[in-house]
Amino acid sequence: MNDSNPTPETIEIETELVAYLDGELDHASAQRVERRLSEDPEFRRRLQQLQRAWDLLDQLPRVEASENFASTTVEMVALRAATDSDHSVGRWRRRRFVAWSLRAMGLAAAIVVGYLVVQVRQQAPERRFLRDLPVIENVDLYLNADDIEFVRQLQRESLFEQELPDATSLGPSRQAPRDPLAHLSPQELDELRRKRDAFELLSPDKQQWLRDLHHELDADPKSAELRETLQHYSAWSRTLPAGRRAELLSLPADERLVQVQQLLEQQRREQEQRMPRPVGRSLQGDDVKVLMAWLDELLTRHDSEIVNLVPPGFFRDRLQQTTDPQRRRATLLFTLSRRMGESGAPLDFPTEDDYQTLAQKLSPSARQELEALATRKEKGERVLEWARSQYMSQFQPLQPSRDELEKYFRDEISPNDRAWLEGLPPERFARELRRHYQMQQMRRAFDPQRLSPGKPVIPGGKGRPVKGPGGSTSP
Amino acid sequence: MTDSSEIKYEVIDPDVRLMLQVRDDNAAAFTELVTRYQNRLLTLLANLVPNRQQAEDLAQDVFLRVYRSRKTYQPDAKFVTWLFRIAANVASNAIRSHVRRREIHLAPPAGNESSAISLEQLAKAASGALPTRRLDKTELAEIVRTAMESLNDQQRVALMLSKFEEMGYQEIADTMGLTVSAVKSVLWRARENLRTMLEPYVADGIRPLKD
Repeated sequence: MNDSNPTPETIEIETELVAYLDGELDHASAQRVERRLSEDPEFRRRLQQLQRAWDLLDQLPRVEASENFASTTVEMVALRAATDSDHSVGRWRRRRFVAWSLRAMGLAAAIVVGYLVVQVRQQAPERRFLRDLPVIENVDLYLNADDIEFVRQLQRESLFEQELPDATSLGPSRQAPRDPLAHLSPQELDELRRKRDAFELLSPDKQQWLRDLHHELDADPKSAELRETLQHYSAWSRTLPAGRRAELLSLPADERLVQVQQLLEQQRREQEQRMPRPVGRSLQGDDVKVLMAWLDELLTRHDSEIVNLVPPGFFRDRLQQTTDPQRRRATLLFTLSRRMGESGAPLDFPTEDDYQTLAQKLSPSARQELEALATRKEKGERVLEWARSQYMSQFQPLQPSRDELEKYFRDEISPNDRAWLEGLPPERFARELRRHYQMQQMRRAFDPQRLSPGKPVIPGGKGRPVKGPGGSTSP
Repeated sequence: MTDSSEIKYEVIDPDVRLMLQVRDDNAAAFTELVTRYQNRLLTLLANLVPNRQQAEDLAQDVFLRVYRSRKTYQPDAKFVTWLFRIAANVASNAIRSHVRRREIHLAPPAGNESSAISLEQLAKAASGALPTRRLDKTELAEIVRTAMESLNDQQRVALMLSKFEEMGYQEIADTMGLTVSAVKSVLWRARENLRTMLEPYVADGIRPLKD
């Protein structure tokens, strides 16, 4: 290796060496580097030097922020943000003020001094806070609407008519008691602090706008209805993607109303649509019929053995009493599926011969997919996955909210699946995550041990998890 | 930018969700983001600019830019990628303006906390032209810092993201607005330069005696 004047070939080799140290090479390239490392002592020496220099970077300082860095940063940002807003909105007003004050300096000085004295007395932080309390309490809602005319139109169109779960925070403004915070719990106080901070970060113009909105709502003869509509609208808008929400807020009131109507209609249509064919490992065309016929025969042949896999008691009794062929087949299939997913002694069936019989009837591509799997367990898992996909396509889709998806991704997905999903391009990520969620919910719904007495074995076409006796969703 | 991108990053990255709350003017969410990222951001910046005070000023500038951009924020990457993209730009501008000032005034600025060892000495040591003695830990840190200063700002940013943020090439590329192959090349140059500068010290734990 020539240190002073590396050739393009040397550069390429050394770039690969650094990428190898960084774990960025694919398997073949990594093997190439390792082969050379085993054969070339100079190459090995270079790797060691690079690694030692890299380790020395641990000597660089890792900086800890001072205790008040976060608070001073937030204060500085709040101050600058307010200044930004004043700068654009109030420029022409300031110009006029300067011209006027030049003509009447003495009188203005007296007025300004008087004005400031009054302002300082009125604007003491506590008084300001109490004055704005009714607005601060509703700041999240008001920011969603920010225009009285829009709220009136929403109310006239009766787009949101459901029962209010909790309208307490939105009652008409009330006379402030002597200590309006005394009745609040610590959590409510925290929430109020958050709202106060949000309010204080707004520009003075925006704050005034919200105060005006609050007073207009109070003064309207339909005050209660308008507030109720606003709360419904706000709850609904939180279910939208943040980008769509921001887009809505940027529209003028009449255009926003049209957009809300369109979105509601679209949501209704999506609810009505049946689930599209599952992506991923599913069969197409005649292969579906072949698989279902094969399963039918298998489940019939091993019916009593599968029933005996269910622990004695309610569920086994219920399964034995189920005569509807489709329902029985579905329950047998998911009982079998669950047993095959457990550790322990493997089942005697399906046998290699069973899989061979199936493979011979499948299309070449599906046959190849099945025959490429080495063990009976792998084949069983693949066949069950095909079957589940087919069953799922017969039911209404689950439409998890963004929050449900977030929680599912955070708490329930295995690390491997999470890593796989994170690596997908965004569009495929959203599709696959929903599919993952739906598959999981369906598995749960079909799991006999999780079903409660008196509930159907197959979800009644809604695709929602079956609820337990106490009304809670099955875990 | 599609809803899908937003769904992906909103689901996988809690800090994206916080930033979306900042977009909705939630001040507590902004405070939380500052608290979460202050140390990482300061560590990056303190290793890019000459002193800690400047690093703190730049970190505040980065957070101010985050706040000012909130209304147009669209999650097309992890939050940290977006934040460090802003930080890398802010740092590059600061370094360029610092270099310009130094070129005009010739003398180094007052209060410069950079190391007492010069690049010339490092270069001489690398060529084996200086007598040597054993190093202590503080001296070693000083030498590493000087070696880092010998890199251009692009190499330093890439190296810091790789070393301290443990970012992969793709994420560094997204952060710095480069292609993956450009990142590969920048990191090779950076590590090769460091190797050349630091090899005399790591080989025997020695340092050049000053003239």
